[in-house]
This record gives sequence, C-alpha cells and structure tokens, in this order.
Amino acid sequence: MGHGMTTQQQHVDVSNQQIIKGLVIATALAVVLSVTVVLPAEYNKDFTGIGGLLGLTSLNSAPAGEDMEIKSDAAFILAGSEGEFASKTITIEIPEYEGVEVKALMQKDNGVSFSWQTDGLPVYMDMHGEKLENPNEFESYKKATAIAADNGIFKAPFEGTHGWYWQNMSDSPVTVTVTVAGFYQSLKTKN
Amino acid sequence: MRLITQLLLAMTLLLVMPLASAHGVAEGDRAFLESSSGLHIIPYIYLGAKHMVTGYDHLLFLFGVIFFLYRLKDVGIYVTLFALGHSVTLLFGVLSGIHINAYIIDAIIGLSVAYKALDNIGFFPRFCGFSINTKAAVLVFGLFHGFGLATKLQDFNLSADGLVGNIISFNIGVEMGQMIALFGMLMLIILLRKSQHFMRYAFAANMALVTAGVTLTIFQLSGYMWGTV
Repeated sequence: MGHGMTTQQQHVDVSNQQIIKGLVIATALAVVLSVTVVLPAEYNKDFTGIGGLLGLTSLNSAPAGEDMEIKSDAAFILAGSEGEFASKTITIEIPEYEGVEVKALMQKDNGVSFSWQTDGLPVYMDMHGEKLENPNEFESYKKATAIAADNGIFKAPFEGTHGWYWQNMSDSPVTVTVTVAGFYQSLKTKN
Repeated sequence: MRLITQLLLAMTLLLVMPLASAHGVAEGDRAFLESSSGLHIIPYIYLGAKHMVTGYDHLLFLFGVIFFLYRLKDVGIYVTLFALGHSVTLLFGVLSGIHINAYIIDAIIGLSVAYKALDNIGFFPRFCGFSINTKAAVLVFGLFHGFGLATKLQDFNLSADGLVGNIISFNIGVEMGQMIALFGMLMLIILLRKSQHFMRYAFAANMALVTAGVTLTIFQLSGYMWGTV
C-alpha cells in the first residue's frame, strides 16, 4: 500500500461500477431509514405505516411541555404570569362591627388562586378591585351578606389592587385567614 | 501488542458511542445558559467541548476528513482549516445576531458528511471530471458547521453581559472537544489501517458515511418542513 504523496488522492481501489452500486445502496438505505424510522419517530410523519407498526409514532403522542398547544375554545381563561410566583397567607382579626381589606397588587391579566375562611362566624364580603391610576374607582366582582369561606381563581381585569372587604356584623371579634397564590406584586392589609 | 490494540479499540468505542447521542444542548445545560449572566469561562468551555464531542454530525464529518490522512501534519492542516472556518462563523453568527434557520444549516452539514465520503472514494474526478479542492471544501464546510454551532447557542436567551467572553470560551471548548474526539477517531482509523482488508473496509465505511449524511440531510429538511421553531 503506497503512502501517496498527495494525501487527498488516496482513493479506494474499486471499480466505477462498484462505486455506483455502493452509492445506490447507501442512498436507498438512507431514504428507507428516514421514511420508515426517523420521520415517524421524530416528526410523526408515517408515510408507509411501518413507523406505526414499529411503535415509533407513539414517541410523538406524549405531549412535550414546550410544544403545548392550547385550544382557542378552551373552557377556561388563561391568566398571565408576569413576575414571580408568590404565595402568602394573612391572618387578621376584625373587631366587632368593623371592616378590613386585604388587597393584592396585580398586573392586568395576571392570575391568582385564593382561599379564605373565618374562624366560624359569617361576615359581609365584597370582593372588588381598584384601578392603579384611579384608586377611587372600583369594580365589584362578588358580594355576599353572610359568608364564612370562599375560594376560587381570579384573573385581574386591569392593573390595580384586587381583594376583599370583610365586615364583621357581630358583636364579637372574627378572625379571617386568607391565602393568595399566583402572580402578584404584594398582598397587604388595609383598615 | 495485539491485546493492547484491541483494548485501545474497545476503549475508543466505549468513549465515543454513548456520548454521541444528541446534538442539541441538553435541558440541564439550557437552564444554566438561560439563567446565568456575566462571564463564565469554564462552564462555557465545558459546554463547547461537550457539544462537539456529542455532536455526531460534526464527528462524522471530521471522521471523513481524516479518513485518508496518513500524516499527522496533514491532519493538523485540515483540522485547523475546519476549526478556522467554524470559529469565524460561530463568533460572527452569535455576535451579529444573524439567525439562519438551524434545520437548513444542519441539512448542509449532513450534505458535508456525504460530500466528504464521496470525495474519499474519488467520486468527483471519476464521475464529474473535476476535483474539488479538498482544503477549500473543508474550510467552506467549516463555515457552515460554525453557523450550526451559532444557531444552537442562539436558541437560548443569552445574557448580553459577558457574551463575547462566553462565546470565545465556548469556541475554545469546541476546539478542545474536537481534539478529544479527533484523538479517539485517529486511534480507531490507525487500527483499521493495520488490517489487510482496510481498502475494502474503507469503501464500506465511506458508503456508511454517505448513508449517514443523506439520512441527516433528510432528517433536517423534514424538520424544516414539519418541525417546531
């Protein structure tokens, strides 16, 4: 075997016919492999049905998180998730016949889940929000004259503070415990 | 002596096979790339090296390039040309923010594997009546490989803070990974050449490279048509 002077010309010792035959086989193999194995497994394109028989198309049926699709007619409202996920619980005692507020500062369309309950007695509740640019203007979402617990998922219709006003209608103190988890900047008590 | 040869072969295969599993940057590395800011020389060198050692398309091309290079000097020249090519476009691609479709680039990289195998079996002078300057070809395909590396890095929201240093570190890692991979492949091919049947193996091996290159090209073009991104 001579070590060639021009190394790039070190060609194999086969006939032209052999080369053509080899290339036809090599290319055909590549196409067959691609169509029967690679495409079904990678892109769920099973033109021959062989990928399905080999169980390769099932590689695609598991939903990947990154490729998540959301139907436009989904029965739920998608909330935004700007900022950090936060979860906070506030326990507050309301003196007899007095009212308090707990408000979360939220960006428009951000979502939280919430849950609150009293230590027994029902209270008057007004769940509402105030616009950041105009705190005097408020929108009421939910009102109840005698309620001891509530929970749900809330999506902020505008940027501002959103939360609850609870009024103790009894002649003894009531304790309210509220947990808000989701995307909001702050959760504060206001008397 | 024979035993040592066999052991070396086994070790090489063990080193190369399991690593060459995926081309993209792994999920854990993605989290690091996206959450970090500032200069991180060692992590980026590591990621560059890992990317090269586990990037089978780059490895197949390199394998094709060194297949008939008997002298270490020639290996040095060709590998330097390849490194020069992909360094230029890796740096240029990421820093200029030019975004070339990764599937198209990877399809061209697949073609580069098939090209090199055809070149190795003397296809062009025999069937096309001309020969392509192999050094120029390696340099040009090196440029495409560099764009491929760049598109992989561009998939991430890299912090602008320390970007240049990080890309250079990544590039240094790529060269180091290339050296590691090259070492393994050279051992493998030197062992293959010891065989009396090397020329027959050589033909079969280059046909296998054609198959791999064409499969990669079809795979990437399909990604362009049906893939995400």
